[in-house]
Amino acid sequence: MITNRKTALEIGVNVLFITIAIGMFIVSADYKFVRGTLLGARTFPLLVGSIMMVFALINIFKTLGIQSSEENVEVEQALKELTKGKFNNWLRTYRVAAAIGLMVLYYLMMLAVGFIFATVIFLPAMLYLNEYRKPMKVIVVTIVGVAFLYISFKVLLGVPLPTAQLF
Amino acid sequence: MITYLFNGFEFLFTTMAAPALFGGVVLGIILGVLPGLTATMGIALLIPLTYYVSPSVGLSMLIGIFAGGIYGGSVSAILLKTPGTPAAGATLLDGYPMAQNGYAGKAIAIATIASAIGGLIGALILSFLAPQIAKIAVRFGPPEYVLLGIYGLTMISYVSGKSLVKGLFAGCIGLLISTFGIDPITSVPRFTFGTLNLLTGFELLPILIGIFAMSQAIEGVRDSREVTPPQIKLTRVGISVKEFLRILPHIVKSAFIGTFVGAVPGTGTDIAAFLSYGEAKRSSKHPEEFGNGSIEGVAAPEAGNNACVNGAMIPMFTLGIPGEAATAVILGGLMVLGLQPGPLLFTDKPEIIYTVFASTITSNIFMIVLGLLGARFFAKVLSLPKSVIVSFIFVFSVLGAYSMRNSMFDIIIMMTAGLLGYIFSVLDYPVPPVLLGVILGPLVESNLGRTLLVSDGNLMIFFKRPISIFFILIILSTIVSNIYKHYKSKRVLQ
Repeated sequence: MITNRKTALEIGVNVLFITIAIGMFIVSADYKFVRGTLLGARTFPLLVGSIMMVFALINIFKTLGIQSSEENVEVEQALKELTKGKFNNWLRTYRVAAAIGLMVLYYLMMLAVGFIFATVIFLPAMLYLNEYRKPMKVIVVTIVGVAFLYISFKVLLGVPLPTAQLF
Repeated sequence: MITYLFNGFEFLFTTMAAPALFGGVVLGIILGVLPGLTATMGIALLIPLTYYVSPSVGLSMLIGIFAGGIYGGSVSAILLKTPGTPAAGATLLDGYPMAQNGYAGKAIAIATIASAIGGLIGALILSFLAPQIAKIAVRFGPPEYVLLGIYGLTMISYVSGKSLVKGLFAGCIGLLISTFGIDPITSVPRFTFGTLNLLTGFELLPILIGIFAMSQAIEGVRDSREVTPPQIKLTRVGISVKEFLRILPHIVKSAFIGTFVGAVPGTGTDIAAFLSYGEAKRSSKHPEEFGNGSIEGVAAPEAGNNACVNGAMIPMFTLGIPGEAATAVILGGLMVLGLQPGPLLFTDKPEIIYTVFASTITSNIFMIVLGLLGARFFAKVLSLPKSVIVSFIFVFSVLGAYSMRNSMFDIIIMMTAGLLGYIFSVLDYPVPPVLLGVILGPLVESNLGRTLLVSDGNLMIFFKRPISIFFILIILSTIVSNIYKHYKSKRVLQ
């Protein structure tokens, strides 16, 4: 089950990059070669893209080969022990998905309300996801953290912080 | 050269460079102490801060983080049986048994002294050897740079881990990323899709932060329920003169091994540490003590891995070739600061390069003071809530990616790179080749174009110059040795 998902992910990643390489081939068809040579804006992407596709295909065939082999049973067992059960493994996946979701929300909030307010909302949520859940501690860490970031970056170093852009 | 080095020291101690270096060492040790957080990640996160100060000050801070981070890994290896960094893996073998036997303080003192002396020897070799290599490298023309770039790309085979194909695939992704933006030969905007954000290609910094910092933060969230092993109590930190004299020859020998290993691109601090450990065990009068708490077993790997830090900077500064992840990130930092790593740095910006050398030497002195006097503080760092640190890494990643161009687009790039880095780590795909590809792609492409334009497309130009032929031989020997190595390891496995 675990390795099945991993296999799917591995094949998906390789297929994704093959697609990207094909897309780059199509787009780069518009770029001309320097007259009388094979030099031009399309040369390097064509070369690298082709090589990458070969490696991606090898990866896919290798993954499929491992998936159908008997060794896979042992790997499955080892992974089960490593991730300590189905529930824990599900929890780990959920956490990663939630963290990515929170980051996307954080980005959108920055666009809407700017860095400071977005961070005030994002930090407690991320702390909660990280099992840091005592309310008083979360409030203190958030307020002190945001104040520290503002003072050290904006005031002392003069580093600009992301500002709201939607309104 | 000596005058330049003295000037470097003068600059270091008369500007903010020394405090920045000190701060970098402290921060590096803290990051190194915490398992799961690495010096590489710290460097990637702090690069954005460096372009608000002078390049010398910024680079001093990055050097401090690198040196401190490698040393810091030993503290958690000794007290927790969990190496803070891969480089401390060999230290654990004897450091933890020493701590179990009630000598945790002694083990930390040995690790500190060995790290500092090893690092100091490595830094001195770097300071005197690098300018000599740069003198040769300054004669390079476009054909040599093409071959140098290709040689750098062959390093992918060393940083690929278990699967060479996965490493090469990752390297190609890096090369493809480097093709976005204006073509260096024809000046045609390439894959920009009409957006100004892509006119200069993908910025290096958001990619660096994404694949080295954000991906680790995602891993931190995933593993946030994992229980930290109990920490052994720290005893008095110090060693006797007799013990020091016993470990000194091993420290010196390991320092030379570490510097040499580091200077070979594609190796790393972990390899230097294990090689030094093996050599110390082989030449020790008490080999039976190894694995049970030998003081030589702690000293040798620590001297080796910290010397390796400086050795790894030799190809980075002289040739612009990053040998492993941390130096690749520092190299990226140099480029972000507008400096072109390579031999010309020694002639164009000697004040910066020699301040960096002064920093590498001084960082070891800071390390010994901090390590011996602040051991209790760094041991306490182990009890810091990792969940809070991980949460802040996300925020720092966003700030770092944004601050370079004040661009929200770079935050999206950072997040995408972070996700890619995480997926790669889940699938056992190596990440450093991506970075090698991004950094070396433009070097190879632009110089290949120039070479072929000059020679009217005649590839024989590569065989007409002595340095080119030297590089071709090195590249061929690297490829052949790698094929042999993979073939041999497969046979051993069978």
